[in-house]
Amino acid sequence: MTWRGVGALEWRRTGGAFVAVALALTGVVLFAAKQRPFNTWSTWSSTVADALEFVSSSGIVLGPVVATVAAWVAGRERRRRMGDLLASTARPSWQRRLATSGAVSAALLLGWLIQTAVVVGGVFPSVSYWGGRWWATLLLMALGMLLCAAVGSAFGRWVPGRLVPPALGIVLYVLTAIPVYLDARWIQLVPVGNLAVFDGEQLEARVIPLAAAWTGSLVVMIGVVALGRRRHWRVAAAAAGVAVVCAAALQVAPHLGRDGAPGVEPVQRSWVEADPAAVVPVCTDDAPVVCVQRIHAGFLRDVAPVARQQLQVVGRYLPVDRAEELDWGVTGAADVFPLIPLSGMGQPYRSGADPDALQQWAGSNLSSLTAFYCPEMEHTSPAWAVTVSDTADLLLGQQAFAQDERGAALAARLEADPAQARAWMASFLTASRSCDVPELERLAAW
Amino acid sequence: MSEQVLVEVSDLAVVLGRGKKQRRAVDGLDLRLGAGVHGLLGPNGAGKTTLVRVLATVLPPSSGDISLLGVDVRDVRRRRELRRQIGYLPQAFGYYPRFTVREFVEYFAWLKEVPAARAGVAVDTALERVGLADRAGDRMKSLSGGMLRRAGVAQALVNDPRVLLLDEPTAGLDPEQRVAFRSLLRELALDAAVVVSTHLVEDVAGACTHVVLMEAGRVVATGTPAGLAEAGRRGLVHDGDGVCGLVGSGSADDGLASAIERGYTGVLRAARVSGPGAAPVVLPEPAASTSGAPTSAAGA
Repeated sequence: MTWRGVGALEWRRTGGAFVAVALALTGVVLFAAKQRPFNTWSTWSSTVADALEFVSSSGIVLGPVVATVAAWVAGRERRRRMGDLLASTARPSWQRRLATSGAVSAALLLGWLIQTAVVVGGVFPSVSYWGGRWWATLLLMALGMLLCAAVGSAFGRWVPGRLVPPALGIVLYVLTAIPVYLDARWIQLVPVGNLAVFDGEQLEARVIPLAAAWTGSLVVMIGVVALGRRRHWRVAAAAAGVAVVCAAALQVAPHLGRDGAPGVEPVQRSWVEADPAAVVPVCTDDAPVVCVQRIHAGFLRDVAPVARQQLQVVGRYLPVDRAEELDWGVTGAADVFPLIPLSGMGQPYRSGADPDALQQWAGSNLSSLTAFYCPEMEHTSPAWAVTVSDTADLLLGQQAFAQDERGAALAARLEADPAQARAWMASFLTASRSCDVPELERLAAW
Repeated sequence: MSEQVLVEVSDLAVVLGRGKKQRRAVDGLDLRLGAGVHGLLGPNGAGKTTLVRVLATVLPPSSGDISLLGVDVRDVRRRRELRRQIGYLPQAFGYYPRFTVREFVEYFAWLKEVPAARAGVAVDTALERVGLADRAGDRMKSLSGGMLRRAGVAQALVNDPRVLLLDEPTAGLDPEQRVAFRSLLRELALDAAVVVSTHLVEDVAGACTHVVLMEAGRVVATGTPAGLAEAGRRGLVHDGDGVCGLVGSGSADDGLASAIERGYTGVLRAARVSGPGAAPVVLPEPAASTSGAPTSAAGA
């Protein structure tokens, strides 16, 4: 029998296909639970980054499951009391364990890949840009899954007891999930569940090799322990050394050359940087021009008519002839009507924007023009602020947001004189963006 | 039968357990075995299984020397080579329920490093020898206890071992299978040392060329089944120095198995009277035996 034959035999013995499908189904069920109608607050951006972020998050559950399965399989010979029989055979035991652990790891990795394919497949109809260094996110997560399999194999090999595999899974779940909430310095060293790379972001180039070496060296070190081959202790020791160096480097490297000292920004964010290619505007060919970020180009066809309608409304008061998706907090040029970021706009396995999300987004666009917040208004909501805000909403056709009678009366007077309305709105936008409170009070009493 | 010594054990001691539970499972055991079927007989706790485990290189000896096929079992560099020539069926036989019988034996052929080019034939031969060729495609979990035992023997045979160690191999076999199995053992023993640990005197009578009686971790008697039967028919005498002899003329009507059983009981009784310091008894061959002749010696 060849190694290939043994691999096939181990695959069948482990129930490789079943394990792979079961793990994939677990991941898919988690994915389904995130989607409407099961989860009304959930959003789906139909970007690869969003899909991968979900895959990473699901690793908090799937990683411990992988470790549990691997531990159970690794303890099989002990449970079946085959120790004597196997110990009398010529082939070194580490080769036997390699075949067993290799088969179960391959099955588990396949299951994870199927789940990943199902989730990432959800964005295919709308995906326009894969995102910068998307492959690195996948690579690091795959290594994290292999690490979980190695940890499980090591525990199954060395720690006897039927309750060890489930106990290991619970402990790993706690160790994986808790750092996310603590935002501890070492959070990124947890190889599964913490790779939060969102839309328009990418992993930093200098982090990728360090993170891969960190997780990879752990896989090697714990893998050697799982195989129990004493002759390879030097390999394990070298891997441990690499892991220590990488762990230390990962505490420092992501912060070099960044604004702010370590600890100022959330640790999870320290591994990512903006992906300039993701936000390059992709615009309609015909006027009035509507632009979205490259990462949301799949929505342009649905967004353009809505944005143009809004441009028409806003254009009555402001000299804007172009609508463009901008990042949060960015106002853009004077002649640009800023469209707020198109997050949560997608539908799994379907192209185009979600109609409900599109409607909400349209309302938010105009509200973002009229809403303002100034430090002087902390804990208070003066009457003049409600008046000017409602007046602006009514001028832009946002009746649903307006309740103030004085605002309604002012809006009616302004609409009767378009020139006055344009002047008022121009003054309002300037004052609201600069928090010019006296001017805003003056506008309320226009 | 070849005169070559395939198994040589000298002053073997095996200590099991720790602390207060520590006990000497094998204590100062000497043994020399050539080709043939060697039956290990003895009461529960005599050390038979421990001895078989040590011979299988599963359990390290606490002291003493063991040489299999001329190789010291402590020689780590040659242990792998040695194990390629050992077949072993443990008393507690675990198996993989999802394997088919053929896969199970194939897997052990791989573990025993049977060359891939020869493995297919070796597996077929082993399955035929134990009468499981027609059940090769069945899953292990679907087999009866007797068939599982035969599958266990098949894995032990698959590497064509020169030292075959079988711990209670006939447990669960029906009478017909036992007869066939004993015949197989005799066939295998033409150029291999087959060590069979058993409680069944029928196995000894039907298959063994030699018997080794154990009690309290040491060998108390060696000889042939016929010699043991003779001791059973004629009776043993103990002279106070731990030396036994045969007395009386016995009964020609005794069946071999029952005679062996009586001989076995008599030897054990004599060994207990003699105490642990007494030398093992070499049971005389029926034709050569003479009444009252002292027959103490070590090894076979």
